[in-house]
Amino acid sequence: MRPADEHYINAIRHNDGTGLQQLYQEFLPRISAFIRRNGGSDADAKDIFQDALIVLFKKVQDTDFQLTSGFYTLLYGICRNLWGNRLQKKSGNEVSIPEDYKYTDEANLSQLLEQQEEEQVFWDAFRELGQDCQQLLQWFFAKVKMAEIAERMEYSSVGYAKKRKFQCKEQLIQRVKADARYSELMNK
Amino acid sequence: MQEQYERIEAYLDGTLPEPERKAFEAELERDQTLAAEVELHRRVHRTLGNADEWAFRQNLEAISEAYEAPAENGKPENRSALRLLLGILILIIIASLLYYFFMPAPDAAPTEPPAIEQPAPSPTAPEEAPEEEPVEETTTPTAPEDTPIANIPPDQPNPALEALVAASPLSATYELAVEARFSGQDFTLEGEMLSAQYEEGQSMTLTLFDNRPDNYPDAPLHTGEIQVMEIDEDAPIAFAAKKAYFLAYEAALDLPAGLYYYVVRVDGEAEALWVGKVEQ
Repeated sequence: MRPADEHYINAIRHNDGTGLQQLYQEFLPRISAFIRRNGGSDADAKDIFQDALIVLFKKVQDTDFQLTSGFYTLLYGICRNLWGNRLQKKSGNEVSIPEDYKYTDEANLSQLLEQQEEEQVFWDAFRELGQDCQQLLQWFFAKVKMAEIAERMEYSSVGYAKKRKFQCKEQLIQRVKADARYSELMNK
Repeated sequence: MQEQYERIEAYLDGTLPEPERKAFEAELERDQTLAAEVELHRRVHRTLGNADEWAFRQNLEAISEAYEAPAENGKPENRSALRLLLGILILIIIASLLYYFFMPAPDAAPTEPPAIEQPAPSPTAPEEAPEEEPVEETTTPTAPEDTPIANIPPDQPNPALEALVAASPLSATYELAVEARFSGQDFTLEGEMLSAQYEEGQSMTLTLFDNRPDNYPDAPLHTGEIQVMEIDEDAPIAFAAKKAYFLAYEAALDLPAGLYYYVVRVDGEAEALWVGKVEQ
C-alpha cells in the first residue's frame, strides 16, 4: 500500500479529523465533478461522499481488510455505485447492486453498500428531528439509563423523560414509515 | 402506544420478564403488523445505536460543513487555475507596458531615454501596479527566460501541468478516474473510465513527462498504450448509455527521483482526458 493510501485508510479507521479533512480536500472536488456530470449537484456529491466514507469506515474495521486497488479508485468505485443506485431509484427502476463489479467485489463491499442504502433511511429521518429529540435519542440508543437522561436533559422527572423519549421515537418511526424507501426496506 | 413502545424495547433488550416474553412472542406469531413493527424498531436500534459510527458521522458532518466555504466560493482547483490565468494575463499586460516604455519609439532617436510624451498606454499602469505581488508568486515558473532550466529542482511543480492535474478529469465524454504510482522502477497506472463513446479497439495512450516546463508537451520521457477492459455489469447502469471500463498500464522505467506527470489520451480526441502526477 502506498504511504498516502495508508494514511487515508488509517484516518478512516481511527476517525482522525485532520486526515479526514485532507481526504475531503483531496477527493471531494473530483467526486463532485463526477456527480455533476451525471445529473447531480454539489449537495448530492457531499452526501454520496459521506456515505462512501461510512461504507469504508465499516469495511476497514475488519482487520483482514486489504487495499487491492489505489485508494481513490476504490473510493470512486463506491461513489459511482452509490450514485448509480440513487439515480436508478429516482427513475423508479429495479434496483440491484452489480455483483461482479471489480472493486466492490474485490473488497467484498456489495453487502455493505446495500446496508448503507438501508440505514440511510433511518439516519435521514433522525436528522429531521428537533435538536432536543436528536440528543435524547442519541443517549437512549447508546443505552444511557433514563434517570441519567432526565438529569442530563434537565427534565423534572424520569417519567417525563420517558414520555419525551416516546414522543421523539414516535416521530422518528413515523418519518421512516413516510419514506418511500421504507416499504422496499421492510420487504428485504 | 407508549406502553407498546416500551414493551417492544424491553423485548429487544432482553429485559422482558419470562411469562411476558412468551406471551409477546405468541402475539408476534399471530400479529404480522406487530411483527413488522418490532422488526422496524430492531433495525432502528441497530443502526442508531452504533457509538463508533456516531462519532465518525459527527466528525464527517463537522468537516463537511467546514468544507462549505471553498465549495461555494469556487472549487479550489478552479480557483488556482483562474489565479494562474490571471497571473499570465497580468504578466502579458506588464510585459507590453514595459515594451512600450523601454522600446525606442520608431520616430525617436535610439539614444533617447524613454520618451515622457509617450504616455498613451500608461493610464492603466498605476492600476496594474498593486497587482504585481500575486504575479510574482504564480508566474515565476512560467517565465522560462528568467529561470535557468538546468537549475529546476526535480520535485518543483510545473504550474501549467498542475492546473491540468487539478482540473482532471478533463473530458465529459470519456470520464476518467485513474491513479499512477512508482514502486521501485515499476510504473503502474490503473483506474476507471465511464463513456458512451468509447469503441472497442480505440487506442488509449499514456505519455510521461518530467517537471521541466520546456519538456511539455514536445519531449515526453515515455509513451505506451493503456489496456482497456470493459467491466461487465449485469445490472442496468443508470448513467445513460455510458459503459464502465477498467484501465491498466505497466512499465519498467529507470528514472531518477523527482516529480513526473502523465497524460492520458484517446485516439480521435484532440484534448487530453486526464493529467496526473506521480513521484518517483
